[in-house]
Amino acid sequence: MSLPRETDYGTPARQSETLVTVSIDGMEVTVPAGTSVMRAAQDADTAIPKLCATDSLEPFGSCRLCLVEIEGRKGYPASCTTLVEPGMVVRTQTPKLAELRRNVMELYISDHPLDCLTCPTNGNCELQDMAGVVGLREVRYGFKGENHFCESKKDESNPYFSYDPAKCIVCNRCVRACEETQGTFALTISGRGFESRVSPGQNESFMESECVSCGACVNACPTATLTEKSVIKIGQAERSVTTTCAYCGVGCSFKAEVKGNQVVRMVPAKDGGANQGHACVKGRFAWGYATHADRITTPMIRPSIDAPWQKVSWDEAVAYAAGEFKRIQAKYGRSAVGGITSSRCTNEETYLVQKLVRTAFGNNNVDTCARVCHSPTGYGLKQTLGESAGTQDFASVLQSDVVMVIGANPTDGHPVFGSLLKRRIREGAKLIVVDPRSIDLVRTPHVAASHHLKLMPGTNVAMVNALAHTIVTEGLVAETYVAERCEGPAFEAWREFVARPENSPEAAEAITGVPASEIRAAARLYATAGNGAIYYGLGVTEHSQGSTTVMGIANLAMATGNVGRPGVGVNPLRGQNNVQGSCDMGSFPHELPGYRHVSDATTRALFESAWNVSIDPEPGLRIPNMFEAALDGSFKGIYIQGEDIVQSDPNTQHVESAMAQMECVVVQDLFLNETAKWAHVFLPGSSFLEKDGTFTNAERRISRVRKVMPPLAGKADWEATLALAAALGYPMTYSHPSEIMDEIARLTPSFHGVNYALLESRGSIQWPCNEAAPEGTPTMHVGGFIRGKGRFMLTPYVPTTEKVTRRFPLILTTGRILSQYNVGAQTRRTDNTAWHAEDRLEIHPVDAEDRGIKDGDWVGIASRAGETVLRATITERVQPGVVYTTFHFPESGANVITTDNSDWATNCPEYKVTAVQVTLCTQPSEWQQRFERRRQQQQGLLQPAVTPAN
Amino acid sequence: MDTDYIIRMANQIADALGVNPDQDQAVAELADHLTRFWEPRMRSALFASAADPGLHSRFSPLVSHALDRMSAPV
Repeated sequence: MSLPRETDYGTPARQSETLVTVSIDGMEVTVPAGTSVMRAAQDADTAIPKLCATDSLEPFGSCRLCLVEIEGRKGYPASCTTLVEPGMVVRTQTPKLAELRRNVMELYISDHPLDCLTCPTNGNCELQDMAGVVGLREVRYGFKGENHFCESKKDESNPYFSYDPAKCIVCNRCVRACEETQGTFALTISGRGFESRVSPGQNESFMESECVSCGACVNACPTATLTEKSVIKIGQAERSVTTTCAYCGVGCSFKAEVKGNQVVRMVPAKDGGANQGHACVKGRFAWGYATHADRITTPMIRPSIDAPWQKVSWDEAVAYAAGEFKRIQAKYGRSAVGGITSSRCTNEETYLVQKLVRTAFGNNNVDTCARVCHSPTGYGLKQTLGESAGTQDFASVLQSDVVMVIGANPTDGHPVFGSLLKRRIREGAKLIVVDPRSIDLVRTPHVAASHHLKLMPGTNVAMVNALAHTIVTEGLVAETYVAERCEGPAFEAWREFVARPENSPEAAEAITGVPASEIRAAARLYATAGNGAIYYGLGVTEHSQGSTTVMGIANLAMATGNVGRPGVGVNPLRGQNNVQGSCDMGSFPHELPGYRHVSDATTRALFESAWNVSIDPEPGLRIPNMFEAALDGSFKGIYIQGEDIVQSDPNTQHVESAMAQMECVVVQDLFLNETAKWAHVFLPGSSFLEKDGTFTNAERRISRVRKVMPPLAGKADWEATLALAAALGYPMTYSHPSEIMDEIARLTPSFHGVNYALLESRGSIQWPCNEAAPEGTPTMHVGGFIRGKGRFMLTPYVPTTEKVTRRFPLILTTGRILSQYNVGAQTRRTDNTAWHAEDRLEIHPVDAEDRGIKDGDWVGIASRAGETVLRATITERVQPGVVYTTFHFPESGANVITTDNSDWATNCPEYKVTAVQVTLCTQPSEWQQRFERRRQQQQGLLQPAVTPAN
Repeated sequence: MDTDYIIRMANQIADALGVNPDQDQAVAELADHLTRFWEPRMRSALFASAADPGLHSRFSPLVSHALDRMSAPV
């Protein structure tokens, strides 16, 4: 028996203040103007038969199954393409309509294999349903005529779904989904008449085509033509659990369809607040890592990092860890230990880890991976707007007139938002891209940036100042808005500052490499096109001046009046699914939950009363500071939940040296990651499928994570933290994550109204959610800024100290790719490696030719920090003088090259600017050879613990 | 804490905040930043470095002024 299906209204909902009343089969129904007859009928619980229509796509009118009769009109109009009109009288069921529909179905079925009993979508097939609905009992044409039964062979090239052309009814839903929902335009209908076929690209296979494997076509297919291979293999699911994706900061809602405890497929939730039924290749398909053979499901300990791992019970593991932490604190002092929370864990789990550090450890040495990605966002937006978060919801972009994307690559890093953005650009909004590389958004089907400001890495501040200079000196400031909503003296100081000649586009041209005229034109467009929105990513934050650029972006938005309503705003695209949440939960060493400084006695008293401890009023160590303290011998123990700092943090050899100085490293993770190779205690982690909790995405949307299957190691991550806290002598008594959220809400003003019952009823909610905003806050700073008046900040351009020289003449910048995620621990253990099996170095043809490098050659990349070897990809996506790579594979050693330069305000590493030289080479670097030896050694030390006893 | 690391970071903050035409305010903001974001052993290392005559020339004047306004962690 298949799962109950959600109601499909056939055509999308329309918004209109004008309401129209029509009669459908004698029932009156009132709907917004612009609504189709089909949707109006469904509103009245009358389901009109359909095949080519579905409510995620614009009506197409091809299947002719949804014909109706309308009084006063000739013929039988298609209800999907016919809009309601006042007083319209519609009949959906008449003998004539029944006859017409049966005839249509008869034609469809005469060319469809009747293998329903062995079909993977048996019972979950709209064609099958419609045959039943229209009462088809015979096919007069027989099955011997021309047909597609023995159609050309299936396309099995995609690792996740199968294309069986024999079952295709050419309804175009997949083609339209690829266009309208995803915006890739990879599919078409090739041939005409009887020869019509769905075709990826120019008669290519799916894998050869431009398909990005988002699954929108599979979702839209009404038959078994496009079917998940997991469904073909396992069969249809028995139950469905709504949960939230654990990949990027979009935070898509999914229905995990499950048989027993086995996930059959992940289907994007149509009512998902962030994704509205869309997904990407990671969330939709790359969940197999959760049950990968590499999972370690038993706690382990060892006395030193060169000793074999020993399998132990949970009790033994946490007792050993607690004993070591206590020993270290007794010997080296209270501040000699700390913890790292994870943006891949839930809000409740990160809250518990920081609580453990502040209570059981008694210090503020807690940090999170936002340190190495969006910590400048937290700092910069707090300084200017008053809150460390983006200002909009994702849907806001559909009301933007101009969108400026700075240092972000949404189609790769945040694909579902990328699709939404492309849709808005296709509708007519203008696009400005500020990026050193020609990312896909610059020119992709039916989308072209009006301006691509292809600046040199490290020059963002000069660019932002030049944009501001144009706005100020050409009279484009929203004077009334600024006068009403911003601090006058700070604005005047900023106006004078950016108007200086050194901040002009002409001065910036020499720094950024972008023509002044192009900068001026982009500034004019942003300031005058109407609703102007800025979206930015790690290409802004991961610089020595990351915080300065964030403040510069906020300055631009305030100066043009683009904060405080839908369609505008300052929008950080967060990297990991719960970066926003982990920051909200007090993961930073200077802040308690809700971004309140530890030196604030009132806030401290609140938490001290709730937690029954005294809280240290001094800030703790940030992650890079922890490494320095480890090297000077004052930091000896760390509890790391769900982070792989050895792979993800810059200057790997420096990090490794620091890790080697630690006496107790406790790693809680799904796999024996790179950091675990330096660990003394391994606590098995739980994937997002194995626990309850919440994630908070980049639009501040708090969504439920629901347990789909039991934790493989017996404990969810939050339960492991409770066990460790108890062993440390600070027992915490929660029986369910909802109780943790209740405590968070009680102690955090912006969360006062949040609880699991509310999330259950509303699906998700955006903070602030409290007495002032009981239904949450999709748009922030409406009517006034959180801090009262917006504060313009001076943003001097201070060039990075990471300079190109004759020895290191190129700039390396790093980034991400669509199919892989962060350090790759999850996606490398899925079939996503079919798209990206190794990290490669992108190099411009001119730079490659200078060095005699051909595409695919092995090249050494050397910086002041270290050296690694990758294969070269020659491409004009990068500009001359700039090379680029990703960091998804540990053996690549991308972070062996990056330096420990960091943002002045937050210590966020400068991943985006490293001076390097690239040369042809023939063997792995010394570090890579050492890495391989260590990998083999550590794998050997793991074997006794993971090999079953005879 | 490594002296180079500490001095480099402090000077970097001074570069960012030093643009303020009101230098007194810039010094106050720098002192506030160091107090609010630097863990005590980092501040101690900064004070210790500042007390070393051999390192004095490596400090931005703004950092030196900020330290004058701060007290060393105990």
